[in-house]
Amino acid sequence: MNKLHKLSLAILLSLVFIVFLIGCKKETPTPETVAGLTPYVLQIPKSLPPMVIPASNPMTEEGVALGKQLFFDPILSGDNTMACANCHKQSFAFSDSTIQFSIGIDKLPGTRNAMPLVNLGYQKQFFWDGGAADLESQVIGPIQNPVEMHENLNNVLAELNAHPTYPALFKKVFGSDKIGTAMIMKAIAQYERTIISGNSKYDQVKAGTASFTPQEQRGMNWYVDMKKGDCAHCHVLGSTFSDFEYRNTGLDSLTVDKGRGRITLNPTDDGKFKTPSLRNIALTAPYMHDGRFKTLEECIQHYNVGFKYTANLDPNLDNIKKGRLNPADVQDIIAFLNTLTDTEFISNPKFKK
Amino acid sequence: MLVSNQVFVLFFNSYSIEKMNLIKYTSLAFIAITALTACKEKTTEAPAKVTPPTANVDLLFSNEVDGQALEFGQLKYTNAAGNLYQVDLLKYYVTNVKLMKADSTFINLENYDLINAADPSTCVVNGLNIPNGTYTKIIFNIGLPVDRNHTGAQDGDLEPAKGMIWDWNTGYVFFKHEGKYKNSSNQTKSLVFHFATDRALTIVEMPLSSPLVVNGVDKKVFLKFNLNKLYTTPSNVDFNVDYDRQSSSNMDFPWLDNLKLSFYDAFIFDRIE
Repeated sequence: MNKLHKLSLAILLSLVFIVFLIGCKKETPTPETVAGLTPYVLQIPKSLPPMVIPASNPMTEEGVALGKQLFFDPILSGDNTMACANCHKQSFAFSDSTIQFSIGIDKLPGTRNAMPLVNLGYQKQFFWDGGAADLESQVIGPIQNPVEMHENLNNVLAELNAHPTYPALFKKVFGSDKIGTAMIMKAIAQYERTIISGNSKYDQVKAGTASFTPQEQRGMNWYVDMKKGDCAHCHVLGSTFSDFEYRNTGLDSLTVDKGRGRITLNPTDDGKFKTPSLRNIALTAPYMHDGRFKTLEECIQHYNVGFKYTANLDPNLDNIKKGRLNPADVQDIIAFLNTLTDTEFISNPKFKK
Repeated sequence: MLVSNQVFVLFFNSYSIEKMNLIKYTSLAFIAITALTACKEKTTEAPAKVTPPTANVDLLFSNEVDGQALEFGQLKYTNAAGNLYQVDLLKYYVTNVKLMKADSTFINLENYDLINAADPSTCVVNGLNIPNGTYTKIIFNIGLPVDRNHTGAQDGDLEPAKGMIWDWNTGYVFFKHEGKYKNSSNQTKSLVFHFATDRALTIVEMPLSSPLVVNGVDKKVFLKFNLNKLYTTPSNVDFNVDYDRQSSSNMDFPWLDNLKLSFYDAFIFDRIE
């Protein structure tokens, strides 16, 4: 190409660029994410299925990083003392240490046990009763709850919009000069979807790189045996270790907390709660929606002998014999449940502040 | 969009034809200039004598009680059951406004507007570029359709900080009246009515006694909302009995199901300017 050609090409490209700018300005709607962001590539372990990311909230490196910063930032609470991370600690599989009810900024306890945040991208609804219809919508619950972070969304927006660094970060991720609640929800949900655990001893055994002790193997046998543990009906073996359905497990003769019934207003859902995943279950004591059981042994004994014949009792429990596990069987199941702990996950630096 | 597409074609061509001669570059540059000019023309006004094919139609909502303009925080209104009451807050979503012609064809504004009676700037639904024609009916939702009611990650009037969303059971409150009333013991007590969940979605059909004729000139349609009418269907509501209905218990729903029918009577067509 001679010089004249190069010059013409340069002029042409400049003109094309100008036309492109003018053409775009008026007619292209604001995109969900801004060009120039790096798509976030989820590392899904072999033991888990592909994660479906909602089209309305595509994951980017920048969005995940912003979500992580917000997750650890007490700016989201009423007196700027409490972050999401205060009650969702990585060392406890993102649940709240060993306390039954987390304490909010006003020193008030909640009424349900803080849930672990693990493999959330596989769940459809959030909270123990599934009241949050998607992960994004879950975010504003704890922020506004008077017994949790007790903050008003307008305050959050005012503080973030006046912050020295947040406005530029939000603009980079969402292309907007003004921070809106939806952006906070989306960023935190993006980060939460990266919190994936799938490298427990169980997974290593499945992959052939480790092997169960005889006791762990017996425990797994009882876990799936419908006449013994019968755990797998709900805590489906492998993958997410839950079907995430709502069940009444006979904790109370008379309903204390309506659970799912509060959401659906259907009396047959009273006392039902979402089946939690059993991954990292050894780290998330105490147990049940209200943290009433301190140990895994208490949980298993509840399903073995303790459950009550309530109106909405799950049919799997209604139909099974009480006292089918002897004390040794219970210890075997606990040994198996301990193989679901993912030590790499709880120390993984990419989830840290 | 057309302009952008042309540019893309040009852009890719300019890569693949590196050996093209000067004449071809020049003609391409000429096309680009033409595209630029064409783009500019879009913003210039059409000649004055030609009737534009569309016009803007604004729907203005006037919130009142039996013909009195709404005043907040005043214990001055009397409902059909004879209860003295006041309004401290009145907000509702008007969505998917449809302007319908006599042949039942319609244009959907696809709007999601939160009317806050305390802020007149919010009491309007803007219909942009409405095709010319004669519209005989206005249909709209009080509340959000199902596809918009189950996530909070939304903007505009659906921004969660607007205070209309439930954070414990994802969904918006469609209609809120909060205030006070004087009970039968002459005590002033709180009044809370929240219409929420998909079940509370209400469609209002409003025939226009004088049709909306759009012929290239912007129009304003004035509508009234008479709060007192809401508390008359199917029978007069006594605030001594019903004073706290928030759509969060089964007891609320038979009452709300009945009451929502009265939105038909509470919204009234006023005039067109």
